[in-house]
Amino acid sequence: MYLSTLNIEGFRCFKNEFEIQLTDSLNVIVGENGAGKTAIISAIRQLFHDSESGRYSITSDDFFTPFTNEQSATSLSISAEFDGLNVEKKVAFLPWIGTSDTALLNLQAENKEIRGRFKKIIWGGRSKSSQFDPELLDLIQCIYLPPLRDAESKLSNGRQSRLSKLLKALNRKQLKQCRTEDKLHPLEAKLKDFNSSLAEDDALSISDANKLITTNLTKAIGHHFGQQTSIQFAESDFTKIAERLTLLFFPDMSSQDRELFRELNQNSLGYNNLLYIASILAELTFDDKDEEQPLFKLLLIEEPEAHLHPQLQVRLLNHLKSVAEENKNVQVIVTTHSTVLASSVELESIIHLSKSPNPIATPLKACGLPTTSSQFINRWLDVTKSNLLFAGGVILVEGIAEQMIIPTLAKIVLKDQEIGRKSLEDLGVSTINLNGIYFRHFMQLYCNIENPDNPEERNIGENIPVKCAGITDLDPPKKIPKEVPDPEKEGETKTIHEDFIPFDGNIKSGTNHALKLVNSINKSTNARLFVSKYKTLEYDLAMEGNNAALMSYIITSLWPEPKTGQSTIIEEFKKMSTIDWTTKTRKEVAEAAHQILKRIDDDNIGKGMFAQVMTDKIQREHVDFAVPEYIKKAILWASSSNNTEKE
Amino acid sequence: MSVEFTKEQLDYVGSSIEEHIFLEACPGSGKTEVVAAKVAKEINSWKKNPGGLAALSFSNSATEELTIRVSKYLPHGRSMFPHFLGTFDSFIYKNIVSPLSIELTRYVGESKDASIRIIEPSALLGYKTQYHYAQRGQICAHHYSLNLINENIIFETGDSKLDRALNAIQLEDWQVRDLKATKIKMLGNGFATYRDIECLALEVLSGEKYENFVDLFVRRYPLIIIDECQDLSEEQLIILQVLSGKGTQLHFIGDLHQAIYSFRGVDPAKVSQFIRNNCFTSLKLTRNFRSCQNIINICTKLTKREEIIGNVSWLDPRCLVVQYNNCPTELVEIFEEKCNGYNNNVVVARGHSTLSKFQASTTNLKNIQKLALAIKLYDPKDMEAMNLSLWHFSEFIRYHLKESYKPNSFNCPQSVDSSLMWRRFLYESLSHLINNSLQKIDIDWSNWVKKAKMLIQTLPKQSFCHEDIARVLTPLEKVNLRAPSGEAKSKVSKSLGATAKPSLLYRKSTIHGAKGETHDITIVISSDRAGNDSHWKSWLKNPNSEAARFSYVASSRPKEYLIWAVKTLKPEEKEQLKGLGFTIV
Repeated sequence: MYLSTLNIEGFRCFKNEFEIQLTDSLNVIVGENGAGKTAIISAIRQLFHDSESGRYSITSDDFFTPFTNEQSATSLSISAEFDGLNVEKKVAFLPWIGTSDTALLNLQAENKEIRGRFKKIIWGGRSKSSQFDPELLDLIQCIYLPPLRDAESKLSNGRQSRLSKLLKALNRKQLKQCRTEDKLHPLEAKLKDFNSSLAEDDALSISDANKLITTNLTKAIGHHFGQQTSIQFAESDFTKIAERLTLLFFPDMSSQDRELFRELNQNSLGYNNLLYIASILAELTFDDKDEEQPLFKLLLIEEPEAHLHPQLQVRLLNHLKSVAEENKNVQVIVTTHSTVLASSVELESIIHLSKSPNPIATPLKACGLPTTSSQFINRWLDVTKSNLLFAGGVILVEGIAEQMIIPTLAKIVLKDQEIGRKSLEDLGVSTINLNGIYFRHFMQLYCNIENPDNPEERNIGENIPVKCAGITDLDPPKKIPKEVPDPEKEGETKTIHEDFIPFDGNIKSGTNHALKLVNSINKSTNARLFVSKYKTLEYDLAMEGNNAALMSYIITSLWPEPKTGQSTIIEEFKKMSTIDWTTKTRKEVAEAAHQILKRIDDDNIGKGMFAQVMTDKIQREHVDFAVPEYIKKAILWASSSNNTEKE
Repeated sequence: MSVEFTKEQLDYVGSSIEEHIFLEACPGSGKTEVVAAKVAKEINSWKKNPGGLAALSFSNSATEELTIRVSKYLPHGRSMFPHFLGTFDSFIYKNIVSPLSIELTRYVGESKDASIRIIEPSALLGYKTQYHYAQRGQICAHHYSLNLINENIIFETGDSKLDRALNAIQLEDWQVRDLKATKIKMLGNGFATYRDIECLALEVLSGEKYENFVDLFVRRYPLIIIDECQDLSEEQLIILQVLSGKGTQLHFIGDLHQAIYSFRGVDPAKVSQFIRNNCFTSLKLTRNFRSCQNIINICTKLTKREEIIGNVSWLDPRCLVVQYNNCPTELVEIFEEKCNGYNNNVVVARGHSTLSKFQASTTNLKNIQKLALAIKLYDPKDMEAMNLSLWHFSEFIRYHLKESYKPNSFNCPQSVDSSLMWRRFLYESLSHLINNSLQKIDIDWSNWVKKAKMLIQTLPKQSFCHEDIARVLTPLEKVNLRAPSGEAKSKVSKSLGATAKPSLLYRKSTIHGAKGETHDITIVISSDRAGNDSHWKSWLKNPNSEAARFSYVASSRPKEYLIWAVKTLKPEEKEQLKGLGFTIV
């Protein structure tokens, strides 16, 4: 049994009907701040009695309130659908089910306050008039861990401590039996024996102390008013004893000596958090087949990454995943901002939440990714790439050079925009380096891609409603065959291969296999793939405006000076850097671009190094730099995400 | 619990829940307590989670009584979950029809709620047939129901004449189609009558489409205990037959000699057939703790049942027959004399018409007369009068509104959430009318109506009228009230019957209403006209008839004295009654 679908309306940030699909094991909800991750968790908590963070009743803040003069929502509605019920559970939840296979639970509340309370109605199934047993809600155990949790106080002794809950859960059956037989639980009996042995042992002077007190009291007030006293450990009933127990720790697994253990306030925040979560998981996974045992357990954790270093984050998440997978009745839902977590978990568990006036939840497994693509992404989604899950817009690029240059070019493209929209950082747009031409895999998350060889075959799925722009190189053939007169045989020609130098009027179609995807990607709502006009990034940059001069200058600064004499290459590029290329013919510019690209690609410089130096130069010295049309379009596309409505 | 049980009673409490059992319980046998003990015992030792037992009865009051008694046996605060205690109707409505309402009726509901609203024949609802029937125009969809057993249509319009006319029609195929289509339309809009609910439940239980659901349902309720099983209708028996066929165990508790619901299609012979067919194990409670042996002996003869043992036998006459000349009200003084010293005395008769002779009002009131009567009866010091006053007033209001009504709530419209709010409104309105001197009824109708009309029309605007109720009341703003025809000039007070207090202060009840009760003295009034089942002669004619069972139910109520009031007897009639064991006064 698991919570498969949640529908929310009029609650917190969800004005209109919002739906989120969940899987039966681990669910990781990712998204920007303010996208509604906590609202989803809160909606679930409204439905169930949460045993960890206390009751949470509806307040006026729970009703959707727009940031305009409009009225807040008149009512809120939350519906949860449960799937994967076995026959026993179907019998238990029968009125919630009807003829379908899933159980439905509904909650509605009217925005009408009666002495500080909001009246809420809960019913199962499709009719309020169906039999509804509130006890069924108790059979669903929901545990919620807030982002700012005080693990230490939860773990230390006291009322309702974590340890006492766990011990009670473990001993539930035995305790019940002892109560019916009117016997003491072994723990209670042990402590009782211990108490009496303390009181009787003369060597401990406890009995002496007690006697002294009694004597003094009697002297003071006489026999008539006298009282009896006893010195012992007070707690006698199981709950009280359990609440007095304290968890201690030792920093590694080596120690066998209990004396060396220390109290939790000397432990690190992170480890206390882990201990806390471990104690909850212990209770969650314990199943004594008792009738009062919950039929279904739901663990909600906001930001499990809190206080943990990356390696521990990954370990913890993997453990949560295995707990959820191994225990059929345990479902785990976590929200996170951690790219570490997002990259360590499989795509199937990730649910993307978009920040928009009507938030949309997209489970990545519903994006129609072919198996090869999801396997590929699972392998390739590292900490930096998983940035794309938290971005308000995404620019996918092929290599390190683009990744470095594009944010700088974006500043040029966006410089006329209003304040707050002047750069990719402002807009929350991430430039993600795919390290290759892997658009087919990644862009399926944002749009449905046709199989280029068979247009009928499309991967249909949900799409992350975030603007995604891909930038790729045209990659025309490097050499072209040319018929030239054969110098050896007069009157005949022979084929030689010479460098192909594209310019306006002399453009060849590319060999890049991603080009076949352009058509189907560009039909979609969110994604576009932009292709360079001539050849590759550096070439196309050089073809634009007077960029060739700047780029030539950078080559002169990067090219290694020979130990003696002058480098012809440096001399040549020095000359090129003084030319005003805007006055030259396109063919001449193309020749220059060809030379520039050749030198950048040379081991003496390298694309990455060049991109970095050029980025610095443009940024620091505010050099005039022209942005090629396809890059401009890509930047504008990716940064248009937040005003889709205005378009 | 301090109740000590007899062996017979313990036999049932300790009986198996793995077989069908029929517990035949005579009147006064402590049946309800035994059922409560049984239910409590099974709840305490329940091993069939997540299934639960269902203990069903036929009225809300019986359910309440059972719930209270069961709770006494259970630890404080123990919930009944996963068990169900309630009426048969609500069991079916909540557990079978409501969860499947969308599939059954195609009603999609409003804001995720597809609850079907139950309406009674008196509701004003406009789902009408396309054609006319029996020269009485189009028929409303809630005025008939489909009988799935005989595959015919039964008309229940709330008007018995019309019912007879309609039920007499040999319906053609196209007429049946018309009626069915209209019914489907009404269901599709989320309305149904009680009988429709039963039909829908039968549809679930007999359709392949719902087989999976029914299998789960039987596991959810592996044991069904029916109190007053003699009241099971044929449809209900079919429902139980399907459930038992799938494995539900049935415990029937009741007394076939007390079956008095033939007008609802209940036939004790069918129940007894069912019990035989399904090989119920039979248990009996034969000890009557209520009545003295004198009364029991007469009762035994009424329906020819086996020996029942009572508490005590008295030497002095305990079963009396008193005679009246024209009207039973002549006997008031004798009744008062006989009842002197006893507190719980009840006047019982078959029909309201006989009982109404002991009440102050005229029957068949025009709607405007109901308003006048409501005002007249208004007396905050007398709860019985107050009750009647509120009821008449609610009837008056209901006549003018286009709404469906909740049962047992002073005609509270369905769209008003709180019955309490509605009752408050009724009370405030009446006080308001009285404060505006409407209780002056010694004036003529035309003047009184003029005043009443103005007050009623402004009712929705009064400050005590909650906005939800005001919305429902809008038709009142344009209401037109008229004096009863031909009485415009006569005095209001004159045409409402005698103003005297009810002539006898004892509670009055129909036989149906008195079922299951215990009285000190029961005064059973026979009608003055022979030939129907409210007359004593019919009661004695055939011990297997329902008429005999009417007298049996009525006569088995008292502890101390049983009094039959009959019209003056001929000598041979006296002998007949003496032969039964009565003493003629």
